[in-house]
Amino acid sequence: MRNIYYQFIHTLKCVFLDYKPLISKILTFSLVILVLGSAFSDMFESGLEPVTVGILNEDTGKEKIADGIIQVLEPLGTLSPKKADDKDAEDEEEEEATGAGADVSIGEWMKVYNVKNEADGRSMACDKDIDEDHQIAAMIHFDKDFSKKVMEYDAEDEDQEPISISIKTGRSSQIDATVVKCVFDTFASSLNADFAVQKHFPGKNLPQDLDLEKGYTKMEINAESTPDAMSYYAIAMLMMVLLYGAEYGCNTIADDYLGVIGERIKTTPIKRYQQYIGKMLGMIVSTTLQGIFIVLLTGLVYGANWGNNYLALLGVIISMSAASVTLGACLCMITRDGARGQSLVSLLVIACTFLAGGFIKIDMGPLKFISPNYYAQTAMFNSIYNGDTGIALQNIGILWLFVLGASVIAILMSRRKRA
Amino acid sequence: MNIIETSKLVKRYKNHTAVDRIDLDVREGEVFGLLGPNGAGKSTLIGMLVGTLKVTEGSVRVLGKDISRDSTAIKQDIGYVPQDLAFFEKLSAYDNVIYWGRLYGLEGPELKSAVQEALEFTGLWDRRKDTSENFSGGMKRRLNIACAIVHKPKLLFMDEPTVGVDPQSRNSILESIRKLNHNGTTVIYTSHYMEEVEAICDRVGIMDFGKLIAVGTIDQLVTETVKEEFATIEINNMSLQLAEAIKRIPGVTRCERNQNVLDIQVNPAIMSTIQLLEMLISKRIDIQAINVEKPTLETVFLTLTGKKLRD
Repeated sequence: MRNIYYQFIHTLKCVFLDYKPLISKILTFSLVILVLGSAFSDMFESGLEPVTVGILNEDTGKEKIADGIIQVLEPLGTLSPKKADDKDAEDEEEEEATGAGADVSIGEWMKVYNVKNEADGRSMACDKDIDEDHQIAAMIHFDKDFSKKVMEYDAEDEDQEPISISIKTGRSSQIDATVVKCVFDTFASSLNADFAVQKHFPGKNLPQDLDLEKGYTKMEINAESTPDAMSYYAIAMLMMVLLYGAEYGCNTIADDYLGVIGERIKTTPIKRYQQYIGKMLGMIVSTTLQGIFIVLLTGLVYGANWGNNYLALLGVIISMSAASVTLGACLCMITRDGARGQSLVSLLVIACTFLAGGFIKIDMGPLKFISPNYYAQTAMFNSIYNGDTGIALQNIGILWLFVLGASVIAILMSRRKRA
Repeated sequence: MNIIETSKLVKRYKNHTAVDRIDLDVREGEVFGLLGPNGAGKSTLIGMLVGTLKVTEGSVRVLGKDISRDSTAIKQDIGYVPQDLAFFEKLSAYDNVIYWGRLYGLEGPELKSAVQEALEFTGLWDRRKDTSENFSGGMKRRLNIACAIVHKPKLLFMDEPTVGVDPQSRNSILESIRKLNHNGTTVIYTSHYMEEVEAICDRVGIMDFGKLIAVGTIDQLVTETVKEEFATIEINNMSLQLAEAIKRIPGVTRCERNQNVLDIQVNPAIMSTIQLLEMLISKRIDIQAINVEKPTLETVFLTLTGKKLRD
């Protein structure tokens, strides 16, 4: 035990006495997190800005079917007859406090504005000088004969022109126009379906509530709480820093096993396993401490979200550090050359970070499973954002299997050398 | 008492035999020099003696113990100064020697006093807090030695410990080896510098092609190995005919002319150098200068291996 302890202390001393590259590494990654977190923040915005739509209701028919449509839409939260800026401040405060409006609904995507006449609507949709509060993306126009046309509509007459609701888009972006079109397509489809049901089964109505929730599969990360760009890149770059622990593993094996210092150590009475365990523990703790420093720095300075489960966070960092260090040792033992092992480590760090979506948030399919970063990231995201310690533990377990595999390969390779 | 005994020691790598049936005895308290050209098998032999290389055939006993069975106990009492600098350059001299001392099981006050002793012995105590990467070549060599003697080994292996150092540092290192030996440490010393070996070694072993081709004191080796005498004679108005005539004198085994200078090798069993000179004088040859060379270890090495040590 004494020898293991001394090797452990010696390794820590060697790593931290050489502080210049260490500080440079930490500062570089802190900067990278800041740059990536700022540059890609838009990619991590989960909601769309509500689209403001003007409604010009000129329907003069006594049946007031246009009013009916607007009223039908109201309970669904799709449209409000109020002006967007008429919403009470009290209502907004209540929504914030209770979390109301958190569910994604059509109402979040579309706000309405009652337009006085077509010229007014055209101006609000197209004029450049109009102030932001009175801009609309599109105008929905119910003409004066809308009720009459609906009432005179004969479904049996195939030559008859279909009834339409006029949608006029102005300065709206492609996304805004798509939102408006989708909402009204959906609405028109539901009305058409209702007409069909009424026609074939008089008195029978469509079900009022369609439960779409059951049709969805819940993903590992809850859509309600996903990381912002800074938090995402803080985690991704933390994994990269930890994976750079492979350099320590590689260098130590190169110097203390394959190199001249290793040859000299072999002439001393210390057992090889004592040396190996002590060195590995020292390197794992060194890497872990660097990881903790990144967590503290990004949490306190950048406001990255590291969650509340500090034990799980530490568990992931330690596991990833162990995986990295043993990976480096294994690569050096396979190549039998510190420089070649080091080059391989540098390539792998970049490749593994990329495959796990560390640089750009993309899914690399099955390739991501070969990257240890993926397991550590998954464990961390689930621990922080989903509170799912089960998935976190499962991924930590995979990392330790990785440690075991790399250690076995390293030991087999060392025996091959001795033979 | 022999501190090292090897019997029919062999180290083989696939088809290459690096050490070939070596029988070697090193006596306790002596400085034993191991000489040989590059690739002669010196480092392989030392590797087997210090327990870093497995023995293919034969046996090795170090400090009275079999290295294949008691390697941990043997390692406790040996020190090894490798040819390359083998310490941590980012650490101070003090931390380095502490590290190696701990590897040999030293702790607490015993460790501290041993470290101080080793650093004072090598003249590095005043620079103990300096990072070793900033040391000069000579200081690094001395630190390399300090790391090996911190535990006061009974047997010290030194593999070319003076490579690349200035003459002053070399003298200092040689002096420290003499002191170590005076204090009771047996030293196995390999070097390419013949004068170093002549200066500090009691006995010498010469290796070539994996075999130990000669062992003995320097005088023994010279007497037993070098059977001829060497002289350089400068003659006024030297002619080709004269050189050819000298070459034909019985006992002269070699005669090479370089302008007015002749390099002559004679077999003293037939004719000594003195007799040759008397003969030349009697023939009224105008001799300007004479230099009779005393045979050295270099001569022994050249005679035995056919090459100079630094070839």
